[in-house]
Amino acid sequence: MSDIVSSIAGGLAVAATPLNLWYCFLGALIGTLIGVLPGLGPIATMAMLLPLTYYLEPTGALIMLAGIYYGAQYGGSTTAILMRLPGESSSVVTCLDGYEMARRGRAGTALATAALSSFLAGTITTLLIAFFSPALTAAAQRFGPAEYFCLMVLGLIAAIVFAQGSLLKSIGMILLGLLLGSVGADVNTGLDRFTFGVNELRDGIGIAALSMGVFGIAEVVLNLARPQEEGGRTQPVSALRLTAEDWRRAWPAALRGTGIGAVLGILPGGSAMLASFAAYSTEKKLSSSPEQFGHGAIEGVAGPEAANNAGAQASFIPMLALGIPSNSVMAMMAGAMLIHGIAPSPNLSVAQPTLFWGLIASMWVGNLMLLVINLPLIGLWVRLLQVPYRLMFPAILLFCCIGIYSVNMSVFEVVMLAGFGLAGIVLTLLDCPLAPLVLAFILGPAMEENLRRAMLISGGDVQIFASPICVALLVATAALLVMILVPSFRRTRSRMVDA
Amino acid sequence: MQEQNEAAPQGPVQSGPEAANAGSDLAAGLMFGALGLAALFIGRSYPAGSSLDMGPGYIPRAVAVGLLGIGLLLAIKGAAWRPRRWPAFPVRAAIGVSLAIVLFGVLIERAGLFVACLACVLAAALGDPQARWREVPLVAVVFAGFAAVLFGYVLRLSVQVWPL
Repeated sequence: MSDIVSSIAGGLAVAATPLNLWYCFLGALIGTLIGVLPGLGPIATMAMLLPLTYYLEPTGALIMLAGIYYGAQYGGSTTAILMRLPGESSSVVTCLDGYEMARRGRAGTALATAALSSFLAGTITTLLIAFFSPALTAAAQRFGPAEYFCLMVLGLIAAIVFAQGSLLKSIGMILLGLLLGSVGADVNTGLDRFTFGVNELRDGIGIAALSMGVFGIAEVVLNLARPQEEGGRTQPVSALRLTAEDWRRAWPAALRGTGIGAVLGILPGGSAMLASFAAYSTEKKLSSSPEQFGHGAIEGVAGPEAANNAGAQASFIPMLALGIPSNSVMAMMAGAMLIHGIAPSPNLSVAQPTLFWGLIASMWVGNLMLLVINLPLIGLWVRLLQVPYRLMFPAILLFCCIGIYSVNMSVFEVVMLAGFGLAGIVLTLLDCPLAPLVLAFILGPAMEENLRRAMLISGGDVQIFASPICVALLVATAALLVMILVPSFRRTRSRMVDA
Repeated sequence: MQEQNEAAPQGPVQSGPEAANAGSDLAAGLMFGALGLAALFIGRSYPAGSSLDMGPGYIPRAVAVGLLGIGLLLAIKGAAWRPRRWPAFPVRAAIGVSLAIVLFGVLIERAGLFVACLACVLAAALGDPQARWREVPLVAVVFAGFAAVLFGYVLRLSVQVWPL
């Protein structure tokens, strides 16, 4: 207990160094900026900015990426409330009641509710991460290669079970990701696999080119081809004030939202979007006047906004504690760690305590900054929305090209970016979810390594997978796959896809 | 196979979501299958070793076989459903943007950052159906100039900025 408190204090000291505060601020600011701009989600933003983190030291890099993530998360809700344009998927629900509140001249109240609920959720979830992660890490410390392999299998399967999309296609994408991950010189023998004689491929495919291509470039192209979305008229911002009645109704909803978000966020694959939907329907069910929902009920803003922020942050737990990224955002974080030669693993908090606790503490600092950046600057954000896409996309494209080139000063990587962009377009059009691809790509090399090591240790005996931990993990994996076949779960899952 | 496509409703379904699903299932199945086959072919010489001492070819081969299997399942599932609708590929935007990126790559070391950015923005405009051609050259010069100053002089990226 006192361990954790002193660790948090140590983390705060790391996060509060001027340089890290600056990265945190920069991340939250850029994230909000991009979250407000329509057409670029948090994942594409993180992918675009991944090369930038090559130049920072690892802790600063992760602090900035995390800031971008929750900034984008929050920026999305501003446009949802003022224009009924959800900047990204997890703020879709906020449109329902947030925009209605704005139409009734209560835009300021809605914005303040969203900001305060997010802050409350962020604070509680940060504490949760601090207390929860060390326990999980301690359990995972006893894992051998076989157990770690099973854990990764569970992580991959769980990520697709709770996420959207066709199960068959998701499995196909996992396999494709594993295949892409195996490109390069084999670790044990040095044999080149799938390199086509290209020297640049011997170190493997770059995570930056892959993620920027499939998330960033593909999104740019698909946005260009799509007719521009028309949102509601921008509503004027009223005073950022809550009445006593508003407080009374909002805070229990925000607390419930935080709980729902934290639980769903820890589950792989679900994350922020699932959490906000679940919180909205819970609030509607619990309310004594459900007919107000959809007509500007403040609970309908407080609950989901708290939930999506809590969910976004709780999804750091599996990544930080076990080294298993559970959605594509965490895959970006893991990618940034790999770039700096830090393999995501259960050892992170032991091997890199500064990074581990600094990142956790920075989340709280970042949430505080969001409150400070967002509320006074709302006017500026709204004006940004008027930048037409025909001016924005060349800038995004240039940024991607220069960014990817600057990673290794390699023309080959630039060409790969174009290739992965095309691949991303095709895969998106075929409804193949991209998250499993990137997750498997990141976990693939470690999975192969651990499997080969496990088999060597056991002398080729599969019995090594009969240890209690392995069996428990494999049973959980099987149970998840069976769950997909249960009709009621299947219905809920496909409803999420439609929403 | 969580969609209940097996129980095909009879009747004139023209182009509901099922038709789009069937099209994308079939296409994705063929794509996965082809990639699995290609990986098996390219990796045919990688030593697989045994499960005791796995060679560099063991995992790729197992994954490729799995990919082939998933591809076949998806293709069969998609082929069993009619009518089918293929997703529309955004040809113009895809060509414009890819060309822009490749041009940037080709020019960056030959002609420097400014020219590469100029070409990138101009080529990208080809892919934008809403491009305003009077505005595009101006935008290209301004963006390229901004990039040259920011990355060449402020951030001092070790890259040639001008053609000479």
